[in-house]
Amino acid sequence: MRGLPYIAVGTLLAGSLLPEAFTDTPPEAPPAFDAAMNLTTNGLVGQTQFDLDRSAFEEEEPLAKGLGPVYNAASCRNCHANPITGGISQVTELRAGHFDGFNFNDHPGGSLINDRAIDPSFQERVLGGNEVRTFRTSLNTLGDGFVEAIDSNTLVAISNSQPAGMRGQFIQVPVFEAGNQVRGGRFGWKNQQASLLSFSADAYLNEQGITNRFLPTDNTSNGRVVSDGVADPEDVENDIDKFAEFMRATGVPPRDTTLAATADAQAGDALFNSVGCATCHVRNIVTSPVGTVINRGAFTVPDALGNKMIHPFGDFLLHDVGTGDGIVQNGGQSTRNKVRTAPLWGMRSRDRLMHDGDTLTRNEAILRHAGEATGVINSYRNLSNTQKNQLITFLNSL
Amino acid sequence: MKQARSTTLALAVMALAAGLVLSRAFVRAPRVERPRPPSPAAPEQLRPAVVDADFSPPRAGEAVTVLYRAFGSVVEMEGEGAAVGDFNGDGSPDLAVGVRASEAHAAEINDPLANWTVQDCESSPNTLVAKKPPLPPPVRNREPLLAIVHGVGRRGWRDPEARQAYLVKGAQEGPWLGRSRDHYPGVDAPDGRARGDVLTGSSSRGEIAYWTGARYVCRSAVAARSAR
Repeated sequence: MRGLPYIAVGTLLAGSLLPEAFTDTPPEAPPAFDAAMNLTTNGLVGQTQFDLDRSAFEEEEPLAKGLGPVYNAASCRNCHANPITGGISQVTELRAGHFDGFNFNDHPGGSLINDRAIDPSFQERVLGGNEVRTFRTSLNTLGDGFVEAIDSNTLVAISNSQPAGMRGQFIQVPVFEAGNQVRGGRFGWKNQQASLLSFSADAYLNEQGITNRFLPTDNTSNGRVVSDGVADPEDVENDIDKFAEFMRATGVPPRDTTLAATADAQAGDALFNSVGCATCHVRNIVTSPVGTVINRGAFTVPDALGNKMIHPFGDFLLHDVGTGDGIVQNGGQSTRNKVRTAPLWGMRSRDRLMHDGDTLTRNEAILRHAGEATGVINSYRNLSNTQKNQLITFLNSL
Repeated sequence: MKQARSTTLALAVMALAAGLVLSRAFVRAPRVERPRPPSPAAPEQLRPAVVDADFSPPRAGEAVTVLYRAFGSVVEMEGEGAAVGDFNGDGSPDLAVGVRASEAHAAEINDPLANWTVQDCESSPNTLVAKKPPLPPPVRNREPLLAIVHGVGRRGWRDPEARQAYLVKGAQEGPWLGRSRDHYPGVDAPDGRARGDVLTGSSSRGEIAYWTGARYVCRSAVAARSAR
């Protein structure tokens, strides 16, 4: 009986530590879809609500709802579709501007040149004197809820762990729903957005021409004010919340487990590290703990997204790998020739590579890296053809 | 004794439960992502301008050495002319040389895993349309090519790290010269995402070659000289 208090205290301690023991090995984030191509919720919302949000993401917006006056597509799915809603596509957007030798200057009306208009007189074009031009491919959004749930400090820690000549640039960008307070950017080729709600509002206006509660003014046509005839803000049903919820509720792009299990892919997996690709194409990131308040107070990390292990094969930082694209958005002039490390998860679904989709083979995409990646790519050049094939097999399993 | 054991067991279970509740209370304590100051790494991310870059022409044997480093034995230098300029616009000196595909290494030059990229100068892809930019046809034996090695840092193409290399098909035969892009405002016309210097040919075809950010394309020099 004298030992009773010790037993009680010991058990109390054990009980306290038990959950910590579990949290030491974060669970893997669930896959976005299964072999039968069923797109399933990650648990953030029920499947019924997820399917409703997906429908909103897939909906073609009519003129009456405010499409245009200039736009790129009528639905989120038009650009985020491969191999399933929320994935990538070959669709590119066009950006342009002028570099005066010191600073990048936006094209009149903004660097985004919309490819479509609801009236031919509204059509945007690249005007003379805007010699900086680039295409940008559509990005994957599957698993982006987990990316949003990464603490900004984690991104800074990744940057600090990279060699000096390869250190990724962490930028902070406004979160619309938090009164434009800033947070570590992570979405878009220039890390121009930090939250999925801001990203949805941005894309709804800039890709579809639908004004919303955060961005209530329609885009111009090369700087000329034109009207689609619908009163602003046009997103009266708050579709942007549905888009954000859909992306937050998706799982991560699943790997080709059959290919990943092959000896070649596993050898390539090891080469990916030894060559140095994983310096920027970071393979493991753990999301913030459940209950963490992120997005400057606008979102709390839920059970479905918190403390999960993800394998994005990207660092969500900006790097100069010699490819441009010459455009500045909200990261300042130092980001002009930098792009976000392309997360390689879901890469097996992509045939056009790099930010502009202008490179078609895996080998040529690797060789196109220069700048900060020069040393890593020279290590790749030193591999035998067998090893290069193994590395590419590994990439094709992602 | 039996009662004592029961009491012990009950206390242990209660303590375990209390511990679990207590720990969850700790886990559930509000945690806030701390705002970061602007990136401390930002200043060093301003890409250091290449200062005092060495744009001097190659000395005897230098071009051959660099070609061998980039392409091995798959190409042979054609003539003496080698152009030096900043063709990809990164501030570092690059080297361009007219070469010929070596007959003894025909398969190697077209290897899809080669350390260089073969591009067709005449292809001018437009990724806005659905059609994919075409892959170039295989290089033929003794086919004339324009070999370009992108430089690294102030030493440029002379730096041992300079191994990013292109073999451009369809370009006119050399010798080539590097000229400022300012002389060719027309290269900014559609499809011309050009940066850096332009390569000018000296043959009667009157052609220039320039970097688009992803590939080398060729164009009539006359058209390229015309302002938009």
